Amino acid sequence: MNKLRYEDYIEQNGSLTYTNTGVSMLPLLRQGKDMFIVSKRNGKRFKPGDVVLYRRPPDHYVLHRVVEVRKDDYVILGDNCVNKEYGIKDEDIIAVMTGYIRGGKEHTVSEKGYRFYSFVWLHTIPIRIGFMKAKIRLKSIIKRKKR
Amino acid sequence: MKLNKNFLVHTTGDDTVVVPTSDAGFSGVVKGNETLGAILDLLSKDTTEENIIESMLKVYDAPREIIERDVKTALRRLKEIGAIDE
Repeated sequence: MNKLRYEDYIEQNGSLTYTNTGVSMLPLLRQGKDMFIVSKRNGKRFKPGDVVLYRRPPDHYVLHRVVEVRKDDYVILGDNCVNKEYGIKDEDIIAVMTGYIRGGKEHTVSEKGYRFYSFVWLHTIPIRIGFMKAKIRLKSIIKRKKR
Repeated sequence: MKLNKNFLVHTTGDDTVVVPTSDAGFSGVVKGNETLGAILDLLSKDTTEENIIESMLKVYDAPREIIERDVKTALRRLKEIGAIDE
């Protein structure tokens, strides 16, 4: 069986349907249940809200959302993450999410429901991060008290 | 035999893809045509190679030897990546 890197597969086929690992893109993508579809990038710069597949050297692949476009790079954040990732450059990005499969049904990112979700997620980042940090702190206090 | 629960199947147009979840001991994509899609559909329930061949013969107007060859090839590929529970 031929083994291709994800970027080679996308280059050859134009798109890739795959599954995510972890909880970083919850509630959009549930591990072991949902799939995402990424397509070859068209050379244009990405915009806030785009979900991109990028390579974190040496061979770690990440699917997270662009939250800020800067002159030379992007700031990226998973939908369920607290820490932003800085310095992701255009050349690190392999593909952009064009759809996802949830409950066996295929959706595109141009659908109204997804666009609404993306808008809300993008515009509530400080609130969500604050809430998630408070939750983490509370959990750690409870854990410490139990000891 | 049955499709392992750590693999997901999706069909778009004529293409069917089988992709592993993080719990599968395989990372990669198996891409196939409508025939693979039909075989995977049958594998969603516990079945046998013979049952798959018989079901395919009812649906596809093709000689038995072609169907048998396609089914055997697909099952071999799926077994290689651990996508089938015996």
